[in-house]
Amino acid sequence: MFDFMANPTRFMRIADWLFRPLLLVTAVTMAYGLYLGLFASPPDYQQGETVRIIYIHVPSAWLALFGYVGLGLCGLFYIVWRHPLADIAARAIAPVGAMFAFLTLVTGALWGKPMWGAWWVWDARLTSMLILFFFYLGVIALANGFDRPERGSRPAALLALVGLVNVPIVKFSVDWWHTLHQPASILRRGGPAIDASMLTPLILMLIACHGYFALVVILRMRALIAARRIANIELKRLGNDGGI
Amino acid sequence: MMGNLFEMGQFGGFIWASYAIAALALGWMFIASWAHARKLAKQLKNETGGSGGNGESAD
Repeated sequence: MFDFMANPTRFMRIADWLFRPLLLVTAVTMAYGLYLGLFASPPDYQQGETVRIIYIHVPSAWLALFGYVGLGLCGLFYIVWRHPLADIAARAIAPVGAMFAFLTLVTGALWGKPMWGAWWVWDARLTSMLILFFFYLGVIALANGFDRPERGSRPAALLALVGLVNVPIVKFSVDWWHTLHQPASILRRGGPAIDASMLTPLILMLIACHGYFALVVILRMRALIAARRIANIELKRLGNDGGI
Repeated sequence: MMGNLFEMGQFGGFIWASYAIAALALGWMFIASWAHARKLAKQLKNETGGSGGNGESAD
């Protein structure tokens, strides 16, 4: 499986084939999810209209975590197996995951102010999510902080692996500590605690955000593969001209 | 009717700000990634004379 996916040309052929159906699914689920979330679903009996922020906040948080697991796995594949696509995938995933972590923090603050009366509290869930965002920034800085990009791949992969420790802390922080943040209401024993009228737009937005994530990662991987091929061609040309 | 939609029980500012920031961030990242991939694909095509450099290693 690893060998099959190790060829960038083969991988990109599969990704290109998936792109249009994925774009269609993402656009349809996002449009319908936004319609249900903003206009058709009822206000919550406790949160009132602010519950509508949850339809963008929860998918952002899921994608921030999901993206970091992907980043950590890419780091593992790069360090252990030197998988040629792992470094490219990690570089493609990191900014997208960082953006979702940022959106989680911002939309959380916009929900927290009317509900808790504060933009920010040093709650275990909020703080661990902020740390996750810093891990993303650290990986991006390390990957791009060297004069030759490939020199940053290994330290970035190591930091991505170290940061994986924070993922279960974010997920289970609401169970391990007394927090202001509410406990899990979808992935929990006994099934989701949300009414179907609110669960439907939430699931649609989750599907849409996962599709969006995959689309942008494919686009960014395509660009990174092309950039490396261009750099290789220029290096060969310089070598032929006696430049190096 | 439209007033109610934007006010959303006095919380419209928080709700619409959340969606506006998310839309800007998601839209900007998608368009920037798409434009960058397209630009580099064209550049690669010019460099390789149309083959796209297929078969070469990415690293």
